[in-house]
Amino acid sequence: MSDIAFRDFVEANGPRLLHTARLLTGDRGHAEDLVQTTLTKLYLKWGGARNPLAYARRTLVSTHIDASRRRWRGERPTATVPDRAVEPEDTSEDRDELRQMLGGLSSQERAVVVLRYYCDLSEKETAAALRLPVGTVKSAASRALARLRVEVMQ
Amino acid sequence: MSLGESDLRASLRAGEGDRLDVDAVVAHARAARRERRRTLLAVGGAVVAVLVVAGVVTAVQANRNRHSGTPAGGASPTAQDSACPPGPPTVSLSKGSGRLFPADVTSINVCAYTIDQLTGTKSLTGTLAHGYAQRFEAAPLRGMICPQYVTRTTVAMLPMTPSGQAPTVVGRVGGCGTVSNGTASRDAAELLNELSKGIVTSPIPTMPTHPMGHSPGPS
Repeated sequence: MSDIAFRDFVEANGPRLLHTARLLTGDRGHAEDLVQTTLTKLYLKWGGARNPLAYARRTLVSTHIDASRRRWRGERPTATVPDRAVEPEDTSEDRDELRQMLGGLSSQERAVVVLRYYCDLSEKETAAALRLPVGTVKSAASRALARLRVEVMQ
Repeated sequence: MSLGESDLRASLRAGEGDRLDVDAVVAHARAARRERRRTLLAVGGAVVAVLVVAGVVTAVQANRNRHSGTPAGGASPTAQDSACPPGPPTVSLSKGSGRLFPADVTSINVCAYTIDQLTGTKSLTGTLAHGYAQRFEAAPLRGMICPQYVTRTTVAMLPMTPSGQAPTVVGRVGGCGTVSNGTASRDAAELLNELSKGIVTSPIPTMPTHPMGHSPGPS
């Protein structure tokens, strides 16, 4: 395995993957964890993955969707609210209405929107990344855009 | 504000450009690889250990079976499967000259009784069992009234084959030593004596009596 090639890949694509993860999760901390998990999986597959970026995107999205399906099981009510780290860099993003509206979409719809309109994947590529039929991607994208438009109108 | 695709793209791109700590990412990935290798080695080691133990157990079992004369695998019935009945069995005496023991006998459990008490057992396996079976088959059937001594010792032979237990062969020590399995019989006094040696301490013939005495034994 070439660690240098992997390092080059991370330097070139890391920021974009991190931003994708942020759009998917809506949280910087979760996004960093998600990217770390994704890149670790990629590292273990390095040399076996023919298209590392496509593999990383697919892993990122599927890991996020799996995690969001599991997340409710990990949440337990507590008497005291834990301290939260202050993330000043997030304040500018919080002002971005459209980005906040993404949080109202389902995990699958959000993934479709991010892959289609941020990663600029075609419907076919998005379907492949999400392991979904193209028709499902089309309908999810259309549904998500319609919901976002309604939100914007309001 | 109406939402076009270009607005959406622009909005999604806003705020990008945060850099990753590449060193931390690579270090974490390396640690994960080391951990995975350790896990794989541990699992592989455990599998190898289990296979080695299984192999040793199989080899020991096969070796044990070879020494006891039974085929390896342990699936076939053994003498231990046919336990001696608590009292001497009885079989009807037949004048037939057919087989006493099945040709594929694998073991014979020999049970000796003094009067009606089980006083000793012996397990014959493999070639030893086969040899005794052949010698009993080769014994003559005189077909005449044979003087029978009142003895206290009855010998029951429980043959086992790969398909299960065969009919029990019963004889009484002394006199003609007639043995029978209910369909065939032989006069094998010497063989019965030989077989009962070491099992029963006092197979003593006492006095002659009527031919073909009482049960237990061939009657």
